[in-house]
Amino acid sequence: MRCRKAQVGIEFIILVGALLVMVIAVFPYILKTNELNKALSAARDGATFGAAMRGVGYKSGSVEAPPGKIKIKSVTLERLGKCGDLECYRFKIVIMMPSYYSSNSSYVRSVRGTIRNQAMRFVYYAFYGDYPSKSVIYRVNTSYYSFNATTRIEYY
Amino acid sequence: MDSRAQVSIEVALVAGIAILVAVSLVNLNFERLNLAREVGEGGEAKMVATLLATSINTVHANGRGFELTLSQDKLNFTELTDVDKGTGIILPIIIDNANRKVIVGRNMSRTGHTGQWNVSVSIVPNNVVREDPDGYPELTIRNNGTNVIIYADSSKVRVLP
Repeated sequence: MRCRKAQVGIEFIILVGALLVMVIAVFPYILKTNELNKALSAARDGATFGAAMRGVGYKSGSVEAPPGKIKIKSVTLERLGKCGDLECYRFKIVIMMPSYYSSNSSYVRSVRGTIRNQAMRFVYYAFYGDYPSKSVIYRVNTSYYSFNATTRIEYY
Repeated sequence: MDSRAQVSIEVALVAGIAILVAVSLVNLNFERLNLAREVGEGGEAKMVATLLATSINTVHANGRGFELTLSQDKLNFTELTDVDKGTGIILPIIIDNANRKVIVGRNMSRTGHTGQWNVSVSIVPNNVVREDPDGYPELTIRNNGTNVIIYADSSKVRVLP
């Protein structure tokens, strides 16, 4: 006697099996893309956090930090090519701030440093689960990629 | 042969892969929550500096004999200094006469920083002095005609010349 449930099961197995083969085939690609997306999200979070805190007027160390409207216009990824076994990418962070800051170059430099550093610290956190012991971090290496960051100021 | 077991293994494999990808995003989302909280508490700490600066300016502007007291429900140092439940302010609060600023420091350990981040608010007078709160309630600010005196313990408020 044939079992009808088994017939249905075989069709289902074929369907799920095909799905499984497809998922396994694209899994390395999913992992790599996931890593890129995760890094970009973390960099955006970090840059936004840095901009928010500097906008309120916070600064580590000395307090020559006038509050003002500091915003992140965009955070994008730029592929730089191979660095050894890893693919090199750079975050391009565009920061917007009022034009009257343009005369205060030390403040502008300081804000750029904070935002770039916060972005890199959060990328590090996203992949390693903890913040880096160094206060300033320039590069984060992951399984497939190596990330650094650069900033550009736009005055308004 | 039991067909149900066959299906279960394959479904478990696909679900397992989906879970792997989802789990990798969990710490990012939790950290996002922390960030929002950090920025909010940063704003609260700045409000403390603003409250103190406004009080000093008010006492200065109203002249000799004017005084006001910031009560516990306005400035509660126990709550403000608590890193987990409070605002994470690091005491003492600095009043810098030379630069005419009230400076408040915050503990930033939740975002992995070992040092403190400071925020400042400008004040008008440059003749603020601190005295121990003997005879006056803590955080009373008084204008004696010569100076603006803030009555507070030196561990809570420090005045720079």
